[in-house]
Amino acid sequence: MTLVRQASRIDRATGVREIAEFFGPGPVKMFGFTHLPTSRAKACVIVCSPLYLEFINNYRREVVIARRLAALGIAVQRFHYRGEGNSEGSTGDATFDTMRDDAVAAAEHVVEATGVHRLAFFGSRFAALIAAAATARFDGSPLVLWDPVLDALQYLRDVFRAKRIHTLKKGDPGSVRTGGMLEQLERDGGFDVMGYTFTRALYESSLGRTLENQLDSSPRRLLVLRLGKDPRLDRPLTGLVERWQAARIEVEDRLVGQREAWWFTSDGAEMERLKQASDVTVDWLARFLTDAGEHG
Amino acid sequence: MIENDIRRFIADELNNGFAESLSDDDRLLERNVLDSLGLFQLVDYLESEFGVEIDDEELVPANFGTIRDIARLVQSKRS
Repeated sequence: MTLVRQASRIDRATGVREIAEFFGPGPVKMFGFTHLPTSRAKACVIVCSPLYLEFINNYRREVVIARRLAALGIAVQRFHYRGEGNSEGSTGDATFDTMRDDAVAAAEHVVEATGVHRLAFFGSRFAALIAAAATARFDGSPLVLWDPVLDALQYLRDVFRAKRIHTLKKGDPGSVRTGGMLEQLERDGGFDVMGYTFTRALYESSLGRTLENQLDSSPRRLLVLRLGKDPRLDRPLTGLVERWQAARIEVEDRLVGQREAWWFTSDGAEMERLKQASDVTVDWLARFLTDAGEHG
Repeated sequence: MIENDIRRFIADELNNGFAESLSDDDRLLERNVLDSLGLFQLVDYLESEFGVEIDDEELVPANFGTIRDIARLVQSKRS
């Protein structure tokens, strides 16, 4: 019997080919999707997905963006980090470094599939840190960041807070304390946050990581999309964008949407509002990767 | 007044239809005026708008049960 490691489909409307497969340089394989244009790709985009519930919330948007980019002649690589999603490996083994290495491996995979070395990275929330760290390996690659986490510690605090608020709403907040959660991380190697396992390995490997210290200073273009936040309430990001611009990194800073729910999604209509974010992203990438932009 | 700012935030940003008629002492959690998302956003708003930092240990019904409770928490943090 032959072991099939790959499956594919061709979109009848656009001719875009999607390949689903397990891949990667090591013994533990990643699961991912390669979206290939009908002709030789003009460039490649690597999608670094966010984590936990944010991964689910963003999943369809990433698929749609990938298909639209491929229809414009840009190959896209989506993937699940080892230990997450459909990929092989154990959740407890995933660290910031393995996730960054997975993003780099995904880039190398799509380069191998297309023969094209012109790359861009796209990361949302915590994956903005991962995309920034990965893109540092590829001089000058454009980078798209959706609602980026500026400091891993702040994100970890949000995880704790999400668990705390969830229990407050359920009427039992006394059972969850930040100190207790840290002790549980130490003792058990992880704890549950609304059905997702938050691990000590990821926590410890992420401490000290900031968007500023993960992105190297080589010239590149950045698109920063703030989703549904009042920029007045987002002073740290404003400060970072100003420092990047002073360092002659070309940053386009956009505000999209009225309200976003990364940890708590209220309904499907909420997600639809982010179509505008997808439009801005596809157009920006097409503009700088194909020198043409999206038409029609 | 902090109470009015909080009420306006709930009306404008959380858009749940309750806020216009909310008194300072209406029970926000029991009446489902605030869901988990709303709570998350409200805490974010309080920290940004009033320049306070709310510890996770302070996320208890005694501080978030009513608009008056929330205003009292903010006031105590500011002073």
